[in-house]
Amino acid sequence: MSEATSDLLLFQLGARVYAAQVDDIRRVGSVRSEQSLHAIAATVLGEPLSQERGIVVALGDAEDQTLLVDHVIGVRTVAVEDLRSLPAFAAACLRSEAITGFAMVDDSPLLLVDLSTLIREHLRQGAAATAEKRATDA
Amino acid sequence: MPERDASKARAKGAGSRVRYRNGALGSETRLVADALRAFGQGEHGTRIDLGSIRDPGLKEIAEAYNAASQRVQSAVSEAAGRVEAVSQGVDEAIEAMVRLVVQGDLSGSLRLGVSDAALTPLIAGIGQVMETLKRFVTEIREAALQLSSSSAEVLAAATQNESSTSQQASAIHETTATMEELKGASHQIAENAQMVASIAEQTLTATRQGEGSIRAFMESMAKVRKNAGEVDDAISKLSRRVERIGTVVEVIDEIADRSDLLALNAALEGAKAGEAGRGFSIVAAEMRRLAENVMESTKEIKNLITEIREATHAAKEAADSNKREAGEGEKLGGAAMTSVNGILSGTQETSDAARVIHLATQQQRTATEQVVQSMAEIEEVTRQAQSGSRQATGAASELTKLAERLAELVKRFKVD
Repeated sequence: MSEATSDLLLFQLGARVYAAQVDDIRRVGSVRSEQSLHAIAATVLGEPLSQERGIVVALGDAEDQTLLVDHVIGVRTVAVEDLRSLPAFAAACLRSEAITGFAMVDDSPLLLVDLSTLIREHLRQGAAATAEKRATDA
Repeated sequence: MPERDASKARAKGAGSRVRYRNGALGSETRLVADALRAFGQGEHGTRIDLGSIRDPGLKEIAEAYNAASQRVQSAVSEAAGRVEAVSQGVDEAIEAMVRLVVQGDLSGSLRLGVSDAALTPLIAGIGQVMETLKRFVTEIREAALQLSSSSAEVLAAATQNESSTSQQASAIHETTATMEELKGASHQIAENAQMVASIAEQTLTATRQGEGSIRAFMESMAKVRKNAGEVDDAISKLSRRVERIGTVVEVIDEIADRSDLLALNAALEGAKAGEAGRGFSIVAAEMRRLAENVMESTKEIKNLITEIREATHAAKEAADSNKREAGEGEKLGGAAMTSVNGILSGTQETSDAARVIHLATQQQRTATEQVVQSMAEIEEVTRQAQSGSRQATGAASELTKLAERLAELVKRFKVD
């Protein structure tokens, strides 16, 4: 009987290591080769320091977006039972819906990030800020 | 006169008779003879009793005898009176002279109670003696006064001379002591000058050695500067090689990074493929591990290159600094050489001057010793002069006392 597993991409942003489902990721690129001007640097996860890698995220109905991170650690396969939901209290405290839970990797809990949600939230916040600025300017 | 002749004739005739009669002298003749014998013996008061003589001739003789003896007795008496008066005048004159001499009063003239022509020369002589004494006393008084004044002046001069001689002796003594000190100082200066000359000679030798050392130092500095230039060139070459290595490492790192990305994406795709992509994922993971090893190696190489860059940079700075320091060292060496040449010149002059000073001070010492010897002789002469002055002062003092004593004595004589 085979155990149900899930493949996660581990990446480092700032001082923290996060995990993301590989299904949302189109590819991993070098910052030098990517269009870094259109890449997303600062999100609710924080701002990368060295910005060595860009994770290209498939948004499905929209254009792919690149999230700049400091380092991509690699792909790890974990058991499904090691993927946990956030406690209700923790979920209520977070401002973002991109943090979906956490994964136990090598007995360490890593925040599980929904990259597409993270980028959509970022794009929405950016659009709102632009509209607010335009309104302010107007 | 005819009467005297006649008397002689009678006496002659009478004598014949008396002598005749003396052969058988009678009493009358004897009487006359005795009278005459007594007269001859100075008994001028003997008289012949005429009444006892009957012989006319004898009687006439007796009468003549009596008259003559009477006259002689009178003359003798008169002469005795004159002798007594003259004797009294002489006594008075002597007494007056003694009194005058004892009392010292020469102001008056001699007055005698006796006036006899025989005393006139004596009185005149005594007057002349008194005048002479007056003149002598006056002259002696004046001379005593002059002597007193002169002896006082001599005493003052002798005292002044003694004082001056004492001061002179003191000054000469001090001068001699000073000259002795000067002699010692000259000796010390001569020794010091000799020592300075010796030190200057040593300094000269040391400075010449220093000149050689500076020249060697400057040559070393030139070599250091040249070597620093060569080191700088070598470092530049090394730096260029390191930069080339860095470039190559960058290429390798880029390749490794791309390999890592490829492996990462391969692993991603393998994961997306599910069970079918497992093997692919394993290979990708292995590739990624290799790429990461390469990147770690390139990272280490980069670190090493960075260290080499820093080291070469530091070495270049050190080489540049060495060049600058060597240049500065050469400049300083040149300045030091100039200074040492100046020191050499100055030391040579100092040595010559010290030698001249040594000779001069030796001559000075010799001259000072001669002066000291001369001063010692002068001091001895001055000491003798001081002793003579002291004796002269004593003699002048005695002379002054004697002059005062003489003046006191002369004052006893009153001449005015």
